[in-house]
Amino acid sequence: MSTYTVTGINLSTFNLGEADKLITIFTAERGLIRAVAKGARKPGSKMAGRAEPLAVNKLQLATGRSLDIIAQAESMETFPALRQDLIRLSYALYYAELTLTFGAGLSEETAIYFDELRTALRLLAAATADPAWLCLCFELHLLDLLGYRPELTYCVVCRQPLTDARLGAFHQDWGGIICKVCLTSRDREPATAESTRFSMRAAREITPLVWKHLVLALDCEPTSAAGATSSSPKQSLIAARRIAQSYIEHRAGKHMKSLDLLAAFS
Amino acid sequence: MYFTRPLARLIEEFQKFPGVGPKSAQRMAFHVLAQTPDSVRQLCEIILEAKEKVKHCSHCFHLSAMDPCEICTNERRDTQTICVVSEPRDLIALERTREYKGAYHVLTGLISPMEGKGPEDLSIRELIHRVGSENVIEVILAISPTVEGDATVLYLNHLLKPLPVKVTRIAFGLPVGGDLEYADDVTLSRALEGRREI
Ligand SMILES: [Zn+2]
Ligand SMILES: [Zn+2]
Repeated sequence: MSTYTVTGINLSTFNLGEADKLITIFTAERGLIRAVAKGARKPGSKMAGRAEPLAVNKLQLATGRSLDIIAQAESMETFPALRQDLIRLSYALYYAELTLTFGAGLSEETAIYFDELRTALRLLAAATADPAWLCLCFELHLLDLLGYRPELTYCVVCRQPLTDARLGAFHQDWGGIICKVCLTSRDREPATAESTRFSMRAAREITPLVWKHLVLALDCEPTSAAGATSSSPKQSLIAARRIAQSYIEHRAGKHMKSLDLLAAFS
Repeated sequence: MYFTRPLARLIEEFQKFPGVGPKSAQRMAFHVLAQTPDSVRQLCEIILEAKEKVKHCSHCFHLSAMDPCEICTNERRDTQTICVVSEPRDLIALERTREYKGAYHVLTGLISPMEGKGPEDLSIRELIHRVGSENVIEVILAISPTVEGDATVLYLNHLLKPLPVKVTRIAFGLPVGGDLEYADDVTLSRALEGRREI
């Protein structure tokens, strides 16, 4: 039986047998993996805390016949602060859900993404910035890594630079913003073949403030995000996040569930 | 490996039971085949009867053949204290200690954001209604210290805080017989938080 060592963040767990857990882990070395944590559901087991979602561990894995087994786990970080605030916990679980959904597409950048995810969780736990703002930064950063960076500086149809006055709507199929001129002239004159293919159902109205939030979040480094927009109005931040999440869901082809709870909470 | 069709189906069904692997499922299937037809028929009837008669108590959501259940109708129990648990099996574990004499409320699960399991899927509304209408003094949250457990506790605390009731959570710390140096940091920090004077 061969063994290997990885550093990973637990994303989700699934009960296996009487006392075991099957964990999906994002590792710096191998991206998404699944491994069995033996006895992790027994209270008092050394594995119990280490097998929890969002825990960061250094792991020694033994290659099994069908599933790899965790031979040793050394706890590196557990973010206890996240477990004391439902809003921050929900965002952290949303990061995990995003990683589960898109992690397999990050083959080249696993080490970079691992560091970014870990930093993003630390920032959430540190509670110095609005979690919605941190989340928007993380979402746009992930889209960037995946090669789905939304176009926010030029109109996706006519390629003219966008200004406050020219903003039309964010179009999910086109992955960016359509200017006002193209938006109103689209029906009369289908400029490109694609423009007739996509319905405007996927488009969302965009205001200058929402646009600035999106642009700012794309430019921000995850480490410098703290406090970046503490002065901007909450409503436009929420609108920008809604656009980012629905674009992500459009790309994923499914609904992200982790933040549903917050809608009922606030 | 070859099993004749009806036997293969029986093994398949047993394998769906929690914690039962292929080996145990085979043993169970062979055990059934070794019984007399009457005792197998009796087993089937027992399973059907349990399924038909055991329901969630409409008051506390524990499993019982009575509604309200034996605990809810027991007049010797202190109804001013409600102990909230996730599953009936947690209630049974607490009953085994013979320490607790209050009432219970079974949530029938935990909030699991990643699985899209929200408060509306649990008996949370009924709990809040009980606390608001039954002269309750203390609500004890006996919920596991997992991510789902913590999410559920945070949510319940948010709803219970405005009500005139004391909300507590059972202490978590080192397992009896466990060694301090082997505890992980979350367990240790919770053990410190839950410390008390001796
Ligand atoms: Zn345009
Ligand atoms: Zn009852």
